[in-house]
Amino acid sequence: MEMTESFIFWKYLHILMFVGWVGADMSVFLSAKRSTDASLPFDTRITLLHMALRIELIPRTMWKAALPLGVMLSAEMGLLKISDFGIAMVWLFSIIWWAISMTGAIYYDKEWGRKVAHFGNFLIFGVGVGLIWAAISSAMGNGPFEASGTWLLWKVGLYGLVNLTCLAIVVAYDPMGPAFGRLAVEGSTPEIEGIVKRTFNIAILPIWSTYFLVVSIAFIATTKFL
Amino acid sequence: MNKRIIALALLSLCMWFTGAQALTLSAESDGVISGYEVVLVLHQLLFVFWLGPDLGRYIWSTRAANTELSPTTRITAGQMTRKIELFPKVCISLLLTVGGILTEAVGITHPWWQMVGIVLLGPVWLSMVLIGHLRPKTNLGDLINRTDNLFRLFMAAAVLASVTYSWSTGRLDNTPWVTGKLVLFAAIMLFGLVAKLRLRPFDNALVQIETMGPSKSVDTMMTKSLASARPYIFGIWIALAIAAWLGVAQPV
Repeated sequence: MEMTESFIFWKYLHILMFVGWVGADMSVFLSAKRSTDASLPFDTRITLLHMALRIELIPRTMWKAALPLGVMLSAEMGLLKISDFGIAMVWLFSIIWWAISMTGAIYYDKEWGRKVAHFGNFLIFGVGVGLIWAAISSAMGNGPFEASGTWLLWKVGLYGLVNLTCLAIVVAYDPMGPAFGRLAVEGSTPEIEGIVKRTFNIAILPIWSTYFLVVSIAFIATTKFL
Repeated sequence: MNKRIIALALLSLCMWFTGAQALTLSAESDGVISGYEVVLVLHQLLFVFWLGPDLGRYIWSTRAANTELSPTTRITAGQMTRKIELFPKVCISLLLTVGGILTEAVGITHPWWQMVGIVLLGPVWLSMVLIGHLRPKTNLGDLINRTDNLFRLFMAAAVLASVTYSWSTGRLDNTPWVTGKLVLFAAIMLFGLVAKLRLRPFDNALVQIETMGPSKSVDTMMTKSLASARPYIFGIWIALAIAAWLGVAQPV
């Protein structure tokens, strides 16, 4: 295939997206981990958690950006049959999805913010399942992607799976907010520290699964061995 | 047994690399993982784990300078910058080796002695970074950290000298984008060096907060130090972004 200027542009953005997603998430992970350190005073721990959630806005944005950027690259490579209207709809959906996700994340301390985030979780689930379905149906010759680009089908399916692991992180991390609320009121107790540690340790599994999957997706895209 | 497995793995990697294909742009699955592709993935990962964590490191440094936060929180923020900065440091140490191997695949050949140097540079530099970061209070760690600025200056000069020589002999005529990437790497080394020197008062201020608590003069020192390093930190990010674009577009 010919390397057009638009292909280079989308590919470049695709790589920058990777930087902002997994790369920036290292700081999120380390900050969140440090916030579980019971030897630190509460105000320091809440700052660590708050900063983790603020820095997480970068990976959160990139995770959503992966959808339209991936669609643009797939279309450029001739592996996705999609009209201009379809592309516009993908962009529109992605922007709305991102806005809902960001609103929920920024206003996590407000009741209405939590409701927005809850609605956003349904969207994540829908995107995840939808993309896995699109990859499988395309592999069978009935989907929107070219069946010959098997590496892309793996990418699409695994990106769908990443959405589900990200959702698992959100669900696994959910008890952390109330636990920190109790820390603020009751102070550090073995019971609350146990909840904090347990919540983080449970969330580690989907967190590392997400990192592994995203790096695997990059490996598949570069090597195209599948 | 473990050594045999490692040796086999290294041998396989070398065989992959020996059979590396030329840069191809295929939309189809080829069923093959070439050595070139493996090194290219490594190259991308080094970029990802350099620039991505560096954003977090910068954000945490602004927290450390934030006078509204408690001294413990500011000290912890400083510790976070130290912890996160290991990612960019590790990536810088390996980039020349990985990049040097990649240039073979785009037609820039090296004599065997140069290739040995390129391949050894990564592990040696990485060891220096890890010892300096994880064992700073040992004799070796202290020596590495004290000579770090000189080493960076030497590396920047060596890269620039190598590029200038290769340019003058016409060796890089077909790959001007590689020239651009190497010059940018040298610039990043120099920017990093200047930023590090300008952040010295910032680091000293953190130690003072830890030992004597915050004061007006310490806070001012920190803010000024961070502000003076900021253009160079942003310069590193911009240079990295341009280098990545050169790698993707490969303009001739």
